[in-house]
Amino acid sequence: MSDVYGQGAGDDPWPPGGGPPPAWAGDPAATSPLLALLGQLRDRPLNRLSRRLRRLRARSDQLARRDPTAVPNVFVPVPGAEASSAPRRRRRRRLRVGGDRFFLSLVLVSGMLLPFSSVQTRFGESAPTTFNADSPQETLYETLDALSSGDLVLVGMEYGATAAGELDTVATVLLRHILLRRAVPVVVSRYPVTLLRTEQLLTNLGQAGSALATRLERDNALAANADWFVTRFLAGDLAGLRSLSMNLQKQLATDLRGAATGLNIRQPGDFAQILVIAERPEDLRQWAEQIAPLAGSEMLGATGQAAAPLARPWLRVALSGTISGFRDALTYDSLLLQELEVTVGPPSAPRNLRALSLDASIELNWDRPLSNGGSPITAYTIRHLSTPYLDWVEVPLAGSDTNHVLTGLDNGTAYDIQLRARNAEGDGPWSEQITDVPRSVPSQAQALSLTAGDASVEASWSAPDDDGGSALTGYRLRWRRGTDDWRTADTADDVTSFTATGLTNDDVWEFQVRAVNRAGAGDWSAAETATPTAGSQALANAAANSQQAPAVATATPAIFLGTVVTGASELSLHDRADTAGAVLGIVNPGDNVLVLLRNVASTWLFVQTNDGLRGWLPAASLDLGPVDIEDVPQQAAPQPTATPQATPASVAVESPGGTAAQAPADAAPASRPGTILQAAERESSIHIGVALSIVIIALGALGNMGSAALRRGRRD
Amino acid sequence: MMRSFFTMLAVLLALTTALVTLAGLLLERQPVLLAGALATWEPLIREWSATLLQVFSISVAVSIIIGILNLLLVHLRRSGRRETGCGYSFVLFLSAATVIGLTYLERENLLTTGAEWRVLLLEQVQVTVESSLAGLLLFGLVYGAWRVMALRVNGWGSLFVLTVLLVLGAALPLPELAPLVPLRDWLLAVPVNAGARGILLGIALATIVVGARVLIGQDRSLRSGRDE
Repeated sequence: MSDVYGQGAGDDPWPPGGGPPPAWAGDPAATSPLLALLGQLRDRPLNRLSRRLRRLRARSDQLARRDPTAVPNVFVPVPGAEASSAPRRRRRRRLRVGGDRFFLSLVLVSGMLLPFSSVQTRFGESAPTTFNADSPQETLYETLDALSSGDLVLVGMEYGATAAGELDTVATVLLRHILLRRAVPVVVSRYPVTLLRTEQLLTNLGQAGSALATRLERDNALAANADWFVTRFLAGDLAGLRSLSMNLQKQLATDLRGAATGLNIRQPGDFAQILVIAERPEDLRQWAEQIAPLAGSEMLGATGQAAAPLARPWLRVALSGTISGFRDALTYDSLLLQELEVTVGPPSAPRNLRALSLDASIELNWDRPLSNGGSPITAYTIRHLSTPYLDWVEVPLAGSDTNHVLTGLDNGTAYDIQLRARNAEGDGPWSEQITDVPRSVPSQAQALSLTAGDASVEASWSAPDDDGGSALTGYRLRWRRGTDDWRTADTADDVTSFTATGLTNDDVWEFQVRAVNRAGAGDWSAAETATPTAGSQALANAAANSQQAPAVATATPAIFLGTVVTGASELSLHDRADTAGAVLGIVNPGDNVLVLLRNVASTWLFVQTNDGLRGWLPAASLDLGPVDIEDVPQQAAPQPTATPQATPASVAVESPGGTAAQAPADAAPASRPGTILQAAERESSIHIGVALSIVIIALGALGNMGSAALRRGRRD
Repeated sequence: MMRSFFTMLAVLLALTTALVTLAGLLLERQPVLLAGALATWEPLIREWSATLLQVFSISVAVSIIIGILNLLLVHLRRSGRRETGCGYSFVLFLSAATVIGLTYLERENLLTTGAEWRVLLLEQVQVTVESSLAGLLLFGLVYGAWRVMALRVNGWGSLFVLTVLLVLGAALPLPELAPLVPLRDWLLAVPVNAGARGILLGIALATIVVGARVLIGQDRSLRSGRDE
């Protein structure tokens, strides 16, 4: 103020010439327009102030010219003011270092660095090795654990570099779990740097030779735009998210680097799961509002420790499972550890051994072991045991194919079958045992004889000599006139006669019959002919015959036709009666398939497509016509599930999926292939930081209260 | 005359865009809003709405590029004039130019070790610096809490300190502090969430008000041409 108005300047004292100020100086209005307007000027913007000051100076100069003694020269040059208008010099600020601030920072930094140098400094309980039952954490784990091979998972990586220290750890375990299930993460983000980081993270996770690649039995690295997708940046914050929901196909069409992804996803509901890893609760809320309703299902969420409480309300409405912070990530990693910990040893047992009966042979299919023992599988060994023989017969198989046909078996004989895998370290344990009976189609039905009636023919025959090793399920009779289409009728296995009615008299009708068992239908018998005539005796038996053997099939045919009726655009053909099974191929609505088997619960059907592809389809997706599903032959044995026998401690085993899993506590975290590097150290660092903060704040509060009490005492 | 014409045009454009976008979003959730002959407009409106959202996203992306270029130019000028802090400006410009150059060389397959450089810059510089900045917050908070009652000891200050100690104490994995956990959970579930929801409601109401003002042409940005 003094620099601007010139009052109080040392070189030019006011009033000029020294002495006491004149009397009029006490009245601001009489002194000058400047002093009178001072109050108004204070609230003016600076740009206007300068303009008015210029006017005031001009007015002051005008008054001074009239009477130099009447108006003080308030605009005399002032050294300070000159200096202020000159280019600002660099002023050296006096460095003020608060001793307490420095000391507190030193204590905090020292304490938080200790866990990285010595494990002895860790305190408190370690992260649990499993989640509580029915907790949101367990729900998230089990949901991801139930993913099937090829499932697409939309992953929103909604955090920036400031939260990367904590949320990278969380993202690592979740992405690893998704990849471990052979599902495919499709990553989107409104943070461009995070997309780059995620790309790097996925590259590191799936590089050749990594625990994950070994576990997936991959010789090469997991590839971008095949095993995982990092799509282009979502610009526009909330509008960008909205745009994603409305233009999903376009948004996912290109990856981070502008290359085509080949993804053809039209709506969020096409994803098997949606997972959001968010730094702020608001991000979770926006996903819950913009994406989840269109997906028609609840999402999975992950946040930092600090954001978790504010994310809880969304857990009730839009999130089915959540994890947060280092602690949950460590527990999650402990659960994954068992699946990823691979050291060299024999492979575990092959899984899902299944059999299909053939003529004097059994076709076997199985899934690879969960662990190859850290070394590629080089061979399998099948062994079978039949009732007449007391010793197992071993059949060595070279290579890593997962199917084989056992031949030279006796039809009608039950065979117990097991399988084991071999790698460079030796043989693994035998798989679950299944039992199956090879069978062939029956031979020709015998002695077909015809008795002509009035507009009808009664056919009778006898059972075939050979039932193919399987009990007959019925007979199929067919007849035609000349070259007309065949008419057919099926009978039960204990019915060996049938009267065909509605025939034209005086025409020659040709008849054939064949026997059917579970392996299929035998050859047609030699054709016989008959000519129905009016007034024949056979007519009298027609009604009775038709009651015991109606024209509509009543017997159980061996092979059924089904039509795919699912409403979806396509349906996956699985390698086992479970959506978790590997996808072998695709069938489309309207496709006709050959139904071969059903599972025990009659919920899945083993079918063969026109392309010869065999696999399991949900029973509800097939229309079997008038046939009852219970008539379809049942699977030879319940689906085997792999239970490793005498699994070596060093060999990976299937994750219990939420059940207690004891992670080796004595191993250094960095030495475990599945463990997140330094997560434990970081967690301990946070604990020490929190503990020190508590001590500092408490001491500060107590000190300040003590000081206040002392001051009060002195005043009193 | 010409100026008011362009002002009117801008207002008309803004209002049309807002109404079409809003209609598209509403029709997506409630397709039955349009009945009769108007129902034939539904796909068109939804398509326009989606297109406008795309245009917005692209505009934002382009504005980011412009913003980055502007930032670089500002710091380049500061470096050239040797103003205060020009050293920082120079380092910033150099870093940006290096990253852009490395990325270009990597994309053109002219740099065999591009990935390593990118990882180095990303992991060891960007993330480390940003994480450190976030970590500095802890020191500020602890120091603030240390001095919170230095000026005046009163009930509210004491309550604040007690709450901070309670929340921090319950975060420690010590069995001795387990009794604090239910209290901490209650604090987070009820008062904290209530406060957060209150803030969210306030933001939501303000957003609605701003949206309504835009839709009826009363937003300041739309009236600026007429006010002057």
